[in-house]
Amino acid sequence: MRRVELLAPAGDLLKLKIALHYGADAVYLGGTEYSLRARASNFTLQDIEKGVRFAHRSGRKVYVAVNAFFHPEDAKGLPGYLKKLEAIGVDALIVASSGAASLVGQHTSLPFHISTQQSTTNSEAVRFWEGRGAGRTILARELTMDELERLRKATDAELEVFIHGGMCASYSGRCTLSNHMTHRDANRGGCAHSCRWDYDLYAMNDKLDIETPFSLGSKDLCAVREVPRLIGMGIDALKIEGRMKSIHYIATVVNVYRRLIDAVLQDDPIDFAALEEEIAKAENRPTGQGFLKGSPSHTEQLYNLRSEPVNKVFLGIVKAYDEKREEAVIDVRNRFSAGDTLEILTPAGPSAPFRVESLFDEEGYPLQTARHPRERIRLKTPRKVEPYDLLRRV
Amino acid sequence: MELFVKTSADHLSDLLEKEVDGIIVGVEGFSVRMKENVAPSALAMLAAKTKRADKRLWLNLNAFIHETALDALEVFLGQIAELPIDGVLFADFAIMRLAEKKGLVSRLVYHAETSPTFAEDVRFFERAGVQAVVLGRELTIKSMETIAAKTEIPLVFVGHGRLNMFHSRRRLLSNYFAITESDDEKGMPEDSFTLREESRNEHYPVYEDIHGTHIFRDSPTQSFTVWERLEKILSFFIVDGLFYDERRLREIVDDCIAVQKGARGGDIAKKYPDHDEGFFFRETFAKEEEEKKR
Repeated sequence: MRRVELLAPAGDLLKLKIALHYGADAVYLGGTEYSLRARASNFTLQDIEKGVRFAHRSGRKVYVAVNAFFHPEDAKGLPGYLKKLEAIGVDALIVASSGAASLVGQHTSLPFHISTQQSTTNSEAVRFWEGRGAGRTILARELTMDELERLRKATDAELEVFIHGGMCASYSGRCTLSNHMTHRDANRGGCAHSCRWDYDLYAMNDKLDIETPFSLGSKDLCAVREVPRLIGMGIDALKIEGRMKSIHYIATVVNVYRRLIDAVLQDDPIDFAALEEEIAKAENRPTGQGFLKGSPSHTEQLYNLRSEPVNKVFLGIVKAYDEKREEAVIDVRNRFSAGDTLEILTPAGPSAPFRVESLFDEEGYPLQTARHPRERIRLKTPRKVEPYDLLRRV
Repeated sequence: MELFVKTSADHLSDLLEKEVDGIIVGVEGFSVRMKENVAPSALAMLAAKTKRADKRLWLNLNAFIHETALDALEVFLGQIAELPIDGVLFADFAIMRLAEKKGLVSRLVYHAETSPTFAEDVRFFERAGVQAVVLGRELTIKSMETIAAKTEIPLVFVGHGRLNMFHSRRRLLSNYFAITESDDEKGMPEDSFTLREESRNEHYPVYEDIHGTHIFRDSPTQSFTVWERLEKILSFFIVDGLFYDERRLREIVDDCIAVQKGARGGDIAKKYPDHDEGFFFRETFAKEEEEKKR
């Protein structure tokens, strides 16, 4: 079986570390300029350098998205930026436009991946880009499992497939709803997600008398049950979407897919329902299988969209562990108290629930409640924990 | 600047009598958002008819090509290599790859609608040897001029018609009628639906076909007010006939010819109060902070 890469989003340096801690083989991120997720907390060059150093220490990779559709005023300085990324040692660039692909080739010797913004749907297009130097093509999210399998058989080129996260309702890179409706350019990082708004449907100029608003938006993708077949057919990289998602989400989703991929590769039994249940702990939107199971029906669409509260609360991040005292130092994110029942999410999965017996501040004084976000507290844990493990309420 | 019109075979005869330079038609299986897609078997006759009128014929092969359609595409490109087809608009790079194999690259015209958007995009196609490049629809006139100043290849723009702003492979109308168990769509012509977002008094035409769901701008675009500037940078100007009936399309073409011959674009534009200038003077923003600065 081909080695498959689990690729996770990194919205900032902490999320990069969390994604790698929970088992990503590679992360992708965007710089403060030239990237498509302008509102994600993007990386400065200095942070990219730190992230690359951190990832390379454990043999993992960092890809940088340079995937906007540049307008003349945006492209100034792009060659210099690309050279700086090469000097930093990033492993590949993700590009969406033919011009950006050309500039990468002209100014660096870095590999580049063709972004899903190109909406590549067939093996001849993959070969086209391979012939122009692309190291990998990230396929369109509109492909069914059967189409992916046919495409895989038709080419040996490196292929990447989305397995989890939000999806464009439109073919990616071809939508200008946001441009028209809000002046925010969907293809330069300004997408207003107009596809997630409610619309009224009119026929022959009369509003149809239907209570449910019309929606273009789709459920998020969750391909837990398709991963074994994707690995079996030889897809090279499985990608999780979500540079703007929370630490808790990144940790939970990466952890689930890491454990799933390892189980597939080791031919271990897989409890899909348990993995889906675990993802639901951090997911606040309904999920479906997108196009993977064929043309999506109404059950894959979002109508009357509302966010669901996640059923686990992320309480803090482990910063250190004192083996002598069997205490974890926690960077608090949400309030919890002595007597609460918690669990720890580790790379091996969630721990058994445990009751908080006692809490201490950094000086060792007892606390009844950890109240303040970012305060450091000490907490006795039932087993040894590692930095970047997460504390959650059960 | 030559004048091309996206139209149907039905409207062809009328347009061939006019001073248009070329006609663009769709082809069954490979085209979307066209008034009509002709059968591949009808192309030889159509090409001959166009040649007799001393006009050029372009095909708009702008559909996404899925893996199962590749064999048919290769056969079709082999077929048109033998025909006097002057141009092939394409968006999917499978077409460029197969055109390279069949010696068709010099007939290609890149037309992905949202790109190219800067000079280096255009140069990519210049180096590849394609015939021309259609500029991204969301560019300002100033950006178009900047690109033109830095590139050599003939540039094209779809400057008149109702621009597409969304194409999903999903069957969004069918899905909606299924979830709401509505019969409202029964008997309705496919082009009768529009969408309206509650805070905007705009109606966006929407329809569904075998390629998915398509949504268009509320107002069609006209370019008469910027005609002189476009003439300095474009080699080809395209009128998209999709939402116009035969009479209206004829009027538009007549007005384009009139302005080509020196009529004042500003005066002609007054005949189009329901049209706007698209993105010519409407800057879009990559980031919220840029928008706030304005």
